[in-house]
Amino acid sequence: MSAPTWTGRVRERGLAAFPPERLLPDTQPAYVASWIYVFGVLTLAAFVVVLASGAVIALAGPAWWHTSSSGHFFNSIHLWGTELFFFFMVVHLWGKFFMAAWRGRRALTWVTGAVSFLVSIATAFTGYLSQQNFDSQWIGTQSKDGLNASGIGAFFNVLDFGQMLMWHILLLPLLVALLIGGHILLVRRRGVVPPL
Amino acid sequence: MLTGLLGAVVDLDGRPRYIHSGWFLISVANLVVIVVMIVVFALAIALPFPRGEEQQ
Repeated sequence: MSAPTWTGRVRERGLAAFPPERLLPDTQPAYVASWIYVFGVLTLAAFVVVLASGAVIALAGPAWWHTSSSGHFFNSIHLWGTELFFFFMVVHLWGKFFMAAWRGRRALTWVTGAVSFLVSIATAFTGYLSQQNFDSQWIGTQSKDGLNASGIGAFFNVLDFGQMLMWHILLLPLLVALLIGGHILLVRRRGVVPPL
Repeated sequence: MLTGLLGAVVDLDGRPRYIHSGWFLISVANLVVIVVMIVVFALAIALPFPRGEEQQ
């Protein structure tokens, strides 16, 4: 008999889908002992660095990250963390593609990973638009016509710095974090895909 | 000193260099990153993963 309240039902379903030993396992299948299986967690680690360095440069703003040594340092950590995030994510993507990682009822795991990749590209793009320098102006003016022609310009104006900054520091990172969180929960639910 | 050495190899402040042939155009920096990704991918498959004693 299920619990009489919605909180109880959510708890029951959560425990049934993710028992603690599956949510935080202390062992993995033998086939996971391969370097190609490391790149998912490397991507996650780089994402944490990007979020943390982004939080630091958000504290003082562009007047700081463009003009002081410590600002340059954290700005560079944010940039190179993003470079590594995409580097690891692409190697992770190649590895999963060539082992057909959507096998064994893992289609949604694959899809959430692929959508995370696409949303991450949009997040990085709004980051380039938020640099507050000639580079960001160049990228904004070069991209506006193509994006406006698609119709997206009505609610996503690349020349509107305030809007792009909000997309970059709130909406898109939140979406990426939710997608990555769902992706990891699905990996825990279905297990790590075995090699072909 | 390290940044000076790296700067001598890769000049990130100068004009970017491109490889251009017909419709194909790519910056050397992007090409280097792609090649390194392919090399890392190959090494990740080829290199043995260190195992603990209890797993052997």
